[in-house]
Amino acid sequence: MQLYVNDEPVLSEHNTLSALLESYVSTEQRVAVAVNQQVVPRSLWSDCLLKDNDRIDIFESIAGG
Amino acid sequence: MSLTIAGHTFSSRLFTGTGKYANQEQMIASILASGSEMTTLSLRRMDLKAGSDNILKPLQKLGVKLLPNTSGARDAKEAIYAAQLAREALETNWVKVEIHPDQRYLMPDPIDTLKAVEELVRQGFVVMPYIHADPVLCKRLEEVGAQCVMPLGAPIGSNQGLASKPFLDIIIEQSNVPVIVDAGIGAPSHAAAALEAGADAVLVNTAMAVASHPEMMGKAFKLAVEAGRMAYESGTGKVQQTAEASSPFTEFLKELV
Repeated sequence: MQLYVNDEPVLSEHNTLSALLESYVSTEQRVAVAVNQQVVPRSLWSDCLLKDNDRIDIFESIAGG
Repeated sequence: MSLTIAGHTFSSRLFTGTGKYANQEQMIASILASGSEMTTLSLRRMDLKAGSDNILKPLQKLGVKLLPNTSGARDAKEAIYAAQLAREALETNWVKVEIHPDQRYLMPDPIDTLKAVEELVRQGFVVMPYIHADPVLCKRLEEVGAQCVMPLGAPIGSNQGLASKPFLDIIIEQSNVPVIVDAGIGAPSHAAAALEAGADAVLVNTAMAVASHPEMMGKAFKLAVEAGRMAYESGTGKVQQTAEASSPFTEFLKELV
């Protein structure tokens, strides 16, 4: 299925968010993830089913004032 | 001397930011020297190729409270989205709302800030809004449940000091929530002046980060904020136009004439 991860087109076999994220995010990394601009809490990643053309955004903390 | 916001007590009235440091070691050393107990962070989409610079670990080790901001948000909708992401990424319901549609002056949008704060309070956030030094807006934000107000001294990163001082004075007089002067503070003397005037705290980033010696500057801000607060609590004297002798006139002086 065709997905977009941080705007990058990705062809993925994974149909859950948790499976997709395994290749991007390590378990101890603190990130926030949104699917089509809806925040998905970490506890729900494995229940979140992806569909064609979903846009997944992964956010992390950076320095800022 | 302590300051309480949303049930959390801070013994330092200096809040800091993590931006603009030359490297992480200087950032940590500067924040540590400043005695600051809360520091701000931003949120960005991860660069999937470059990997992350992992700013969190050293800050967590330092034990400071992390305050995510909504920097980059151009309207209320984006700010609310950023706050929800930050809550997830940093496991905190505290957020500094900043909405600036204009990149040149980074002036905060008062209308969208009010909208965002109202909604985020409803969603259970502890909201700290960055705003212009507008006394009316501060009261409106207080009414919708902002836990403090963060009026600017001058444009972000401009180092101009308390250009908004007459309006900060009105805000401090009227506010029932803590007033934290944010932005524009370019030197420890500016921070001391804010605290002397009765501001509850200041937020400093650029002035510490771009100093030639960020660690020493962190310490200088710590001392300035402590001195400013002590002066406020001690009660400063009245300003007047004419002189008032500090030494009593004596008979000796009269005899000289």
